[in-house]
Amino acid sequence: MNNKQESVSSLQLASLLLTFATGSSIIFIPGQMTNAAKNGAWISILISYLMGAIILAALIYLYKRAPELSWVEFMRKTVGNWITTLLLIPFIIVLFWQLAAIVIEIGGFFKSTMMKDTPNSIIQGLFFLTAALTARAGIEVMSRMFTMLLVFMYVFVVFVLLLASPLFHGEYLLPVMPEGFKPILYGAYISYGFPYAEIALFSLLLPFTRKKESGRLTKYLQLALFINCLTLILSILCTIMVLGPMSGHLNYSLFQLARLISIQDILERVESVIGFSLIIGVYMKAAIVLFMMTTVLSDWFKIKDNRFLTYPVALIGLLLSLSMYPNEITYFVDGYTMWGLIDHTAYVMPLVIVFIVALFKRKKAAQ
Amino acid sequence: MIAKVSMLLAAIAIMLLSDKSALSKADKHARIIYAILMLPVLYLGILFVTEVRWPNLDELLRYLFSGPAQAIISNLNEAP
Repeated sequence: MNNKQESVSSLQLASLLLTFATGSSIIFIPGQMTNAAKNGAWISILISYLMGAIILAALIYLYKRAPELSWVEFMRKTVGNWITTLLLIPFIIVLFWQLAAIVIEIGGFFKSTMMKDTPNSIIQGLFFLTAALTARAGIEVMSRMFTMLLVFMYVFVVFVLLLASPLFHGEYLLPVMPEGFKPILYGAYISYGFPYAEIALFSLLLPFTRKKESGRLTKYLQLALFINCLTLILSILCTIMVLGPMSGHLNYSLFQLARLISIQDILERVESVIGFSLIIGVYMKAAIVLFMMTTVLSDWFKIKDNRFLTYPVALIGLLLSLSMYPNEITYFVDGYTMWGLIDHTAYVMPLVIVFIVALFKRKKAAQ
Repeated sequence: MIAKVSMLLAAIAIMLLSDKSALSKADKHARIIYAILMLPVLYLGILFVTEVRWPNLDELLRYLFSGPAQAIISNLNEAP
């Protein structure tokens, strides 16, 4: 593994996981999920959360088998060089798409809500510049800084949900399954792709954990994932209770919910607070993905310093985000129809293959 | 178009200036990888500046995954 001197505590890694899984999903997921699964969206989250928890358990198991090895080194050791290369090519291609997609999301949000006349290239360029500078600063800096930003993000979201509480209509939550169980599975497919299957990417960050603290890793990481699940369920339930059946037809529904808050004509226009949360969340996620990207490329090509590739990778991500989708609708359609299948194929399948081979080898060694 | 070309050239120039010392210290292997990463930058730069509809990553993923993904979704959206 490159940059061996860099290490983070189990708690810091758990905070990175919570950031990664909650960052942008808290704003995007409620609307899309209620559109797909209607009032049963929270059940969809529970189903996909269970899948995410299994993926995380598999990751931690593999990490504990050889904590001194990076994910790429572990793959090489387990399945050999050629299969590692075959598994890494789609992994890296999809990671590039994801890096660009994260920033396309924020570009679309700015264009449709706050900065309608600013060109996408400026918004997305500044995002990539900030994310690149952060990723280049390294995982230690990211984990310290993001813990603080994560607290801010949570405070903002809880603040908005509390202020929106006078608008809650509990009756909107019923019926839970108006169209049967299939829409709930559809919702689970969406939320499995974003954010739960993406957890497989944490295989790249686990080797940065301090070895002496790896005992508490399972507890902290699973707790972080559970908090993420609770947060998403809470924001979905609050969105439904305020917007009712409309919540599935509005993009950025948490932002729309914040727009409705008006307390005695004193406290209004608090949607900017949700805007901050989204900006913070997307920025942190983009920086983490960029760091993962440079880590996997450096490990694959055996480059000593993983920061060396940060700027070229960020520039590719920026140009992809500017050239890929001619309009936002195509992007959303692709994102919410294909993403579950794409990241399952590119991120989760390699993990499953490595896991099975590792188990098989262990049994063989024991015999 | 001039604005896009200027932005792209500025981004590449800033990147190379920032990486100047790292590039001079890096071994040949690392420099080759860096140069290889410049190839997609060049291709995507042309797409960005000229707005030609040449193949891009979104089309590749749509070509590979759109069919199976649509099948999954239409199955889940079927009326009970």
